Amino acid sequence: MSEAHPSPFPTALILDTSFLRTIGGTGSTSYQTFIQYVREREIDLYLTPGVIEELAEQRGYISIDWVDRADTTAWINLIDTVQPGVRVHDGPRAGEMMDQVHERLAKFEQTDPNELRKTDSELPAAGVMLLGSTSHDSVGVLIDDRNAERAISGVIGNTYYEGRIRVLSIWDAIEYIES
Amino acid sequence: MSNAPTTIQPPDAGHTAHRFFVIQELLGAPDLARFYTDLLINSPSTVTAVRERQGFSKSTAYKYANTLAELGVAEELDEYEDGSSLWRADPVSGDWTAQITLELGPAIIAVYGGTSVDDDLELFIDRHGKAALAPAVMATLTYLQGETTRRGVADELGIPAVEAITVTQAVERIIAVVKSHDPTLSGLTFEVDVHDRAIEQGPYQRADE
Repeated sequence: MSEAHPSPFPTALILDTSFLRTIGGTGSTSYQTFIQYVREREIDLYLTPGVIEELAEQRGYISIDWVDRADTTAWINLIDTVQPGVRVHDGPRAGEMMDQVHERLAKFEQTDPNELRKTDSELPAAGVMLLGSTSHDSVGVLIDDRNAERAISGVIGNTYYEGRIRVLSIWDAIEYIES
Repeated sequence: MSNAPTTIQPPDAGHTAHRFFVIQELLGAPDLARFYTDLLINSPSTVTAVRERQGFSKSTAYKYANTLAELGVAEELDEYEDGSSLWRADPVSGDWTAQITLELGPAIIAVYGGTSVDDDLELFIDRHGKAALAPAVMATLTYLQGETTRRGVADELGIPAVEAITVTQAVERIIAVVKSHDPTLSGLTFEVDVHDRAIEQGPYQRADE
């Protein structure tokens, strides 16, 4: 499950669509608080390919064009592809992490893995890639889906990435930032 | 006198038919459903308190209270708070069976009530129609029971992920408040806690919390 007390806060955050939905637009207090914190602490934000694809089909449910903002700001970054071969220290490769989460989700959803979308399983794999290719010591995944969180956290646990890729619930994160 | 065989109605047929019409009335009038839900989760409550929480005018609030009394799902009590009568609403529920059985109760009534004030729910029914909200409520219950992800709901409903995320977020914050007042949900155990901050964004709040 997600961490109730996300301290110290990661310096890189992977934002899930569910987080972007919940945080709202420029008129929302949560959005303003989050963006102010991110800017002050020089935190880098990342969007995965699956999230970018979902944002393209969002049909009016998210008021901020995050992909457009990524084109015009240095602190929001688009991840074009997740490199499955990346690993850090003796941790599993990004592709292995993705497959393991995907298997858990397919079993959980009682669905054919080939038909299950990979947006959730891509999130920790992107975390591995960021740990391997940037100077960030820890990466947070901000998501508002308790059941996906559980699958992701279950795979991260007892690997090198435990504590380095951290699944954060949106409200715990926002409350931490506000405090 | 006709020789046609007489259909013998079970003794509670009238009561069942009455519940059917009450549910139909509430599902067809979102503002009335919202008034009913607020009164239900905050019973006993004064009409003034309900109208202040939900932003109804005084005349509309009393009209809805009297409508609910006529429908037999609310009553004015012989008790007072700050000089105003207290009212109580009772849960109404029933099953609708066709190819599958839909359990209709306070939660689904509350979600339909929410469409009059929640932009996301309003957009969802604009896109998919009012009927699409019932399967969305069922799918959200599955999510709350820990049996699917929000993206799994998208696959189940055949809608884009962002719509499934949006509608489950909107519905869960209503169900979290109404669940304990809905007899159709009494046997369900939820694995997912809905955060208080999420509930604050929903259309219904318990006055005592």
